[in-house]
Amino acid sequence: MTVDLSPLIDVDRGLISREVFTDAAVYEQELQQIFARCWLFLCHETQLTRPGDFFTTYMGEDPVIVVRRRDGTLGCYLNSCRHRGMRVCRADAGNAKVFTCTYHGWSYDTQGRLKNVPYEREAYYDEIDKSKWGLTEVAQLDTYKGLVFATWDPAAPPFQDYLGDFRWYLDALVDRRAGGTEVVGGVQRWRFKGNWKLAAEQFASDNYHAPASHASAVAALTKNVDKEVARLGKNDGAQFSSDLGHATGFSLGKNLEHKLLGRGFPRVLVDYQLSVWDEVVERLGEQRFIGPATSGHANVFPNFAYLPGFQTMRVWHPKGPDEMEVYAWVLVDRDAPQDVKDAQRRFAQLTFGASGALNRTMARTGRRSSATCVVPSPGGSRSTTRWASVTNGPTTTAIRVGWAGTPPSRRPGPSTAGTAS
Amino acid sequence: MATADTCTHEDASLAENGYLDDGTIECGLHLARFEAATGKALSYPAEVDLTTYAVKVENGDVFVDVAS
Repeated sequence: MTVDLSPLIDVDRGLISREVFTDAAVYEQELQQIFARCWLFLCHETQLTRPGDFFTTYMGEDPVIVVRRRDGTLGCYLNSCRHRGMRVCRADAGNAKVFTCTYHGWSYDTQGRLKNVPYEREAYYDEIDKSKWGLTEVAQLDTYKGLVFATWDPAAPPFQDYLGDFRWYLDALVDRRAGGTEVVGGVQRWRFKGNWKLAAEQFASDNYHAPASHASAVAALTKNVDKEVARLGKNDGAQFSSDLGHATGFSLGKNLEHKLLGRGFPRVLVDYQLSVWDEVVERLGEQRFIGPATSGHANVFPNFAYLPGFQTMRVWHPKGPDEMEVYAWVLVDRDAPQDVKDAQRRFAQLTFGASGALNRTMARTGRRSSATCVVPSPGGSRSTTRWASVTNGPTTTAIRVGWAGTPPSRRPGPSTAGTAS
Repeated sequence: MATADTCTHEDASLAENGYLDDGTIECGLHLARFEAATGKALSYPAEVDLTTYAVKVENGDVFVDVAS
């Protein structure tokens, strides 16, 4: 059954019912209409360099295996045996020639083809057509400057069309230097309470929270405490919001050195940015270098996010309406010296790692934010409330720094308010 | 010394799907293990040894006697 979203979203007034963050039916609809159709981030190409290298992750709630095949191309398959549905790969990452289900032993090669069925004669009288029982493969897979994306929808537009104008901003992350990027360290994973959209929209458009949420963390990271915390709310900056649902914001301070030091960046990382000035400016232009290549926040619809400068890159995997699992990578310029890569990895963990100073303030806020979306019903059981209710107000999206224009006629993202079918 | 390439448990190429490590051949499908030097089955689910073949080297070419 389709949930009619139009009573839950008032675009003209910038109001969203809190029910969109808690309702199970809305969530199910998101899995079908968003996660089964959109291009979703899988991993970085440098995680899979040799034939057989694999990484397991999720597309929506579906577990998938991403693997470097023998011909050098990448494949992505549903991590589910075609026999009884168990996972055929139970490791986070590694190298394999075949994926064998531990239930009955069906084996698949890195092309996803069913290679072997134990006791094929005794159990299937040699009548099973193994060519019809390969792993379920994604409809489309593409890479963009090292980032690997896939979609289950054969009718989805090509990835670069899906990205649209946002590519200009994404290039500020992945195309800074000739050698491109690589991930360092492992993939950190953690769960926290909160609807996935709370995190996605924060990374898309919310720098407003930083002076309040992150005040204590920034005070701890910087020497000139009062001045830097005060400056958090006063940087010049810009926001970009794409009709396709992608969005970013960044600061534009004229002095890059001061901007980075003010965020608590260690000297080695500030010096590195200054040392690559000419190369990056030649590739991206000065505006992009001092803006989206060194600061800000971004979310590629629906659930791929990153923070330039801090270089954390993550996915908000939905785990029901009230929980998400974060997979987080640290991204560096491949041409950077090793001490810079090490420093970047440490700084990313200090700030936005699983227990990072700035990450914890966000997780705490997300949990509270979700909790206030649910009020107890008179009968004592949990129930959600619409924004029309007197017991719990709507969430407003209309408060934006510098926003004074007409509200957008269309809600960003592939689904449009009121026309979901 | 050479051994047969097909695992004695299920129909699978050991060269394609398996690993040779520390003198042990392990099938990648169901983890059957064999001693490379003798073909001896070392662990379940392998219960039958791999067939072995004599090998000789002449002028740098390796010959396997498949009739042996």
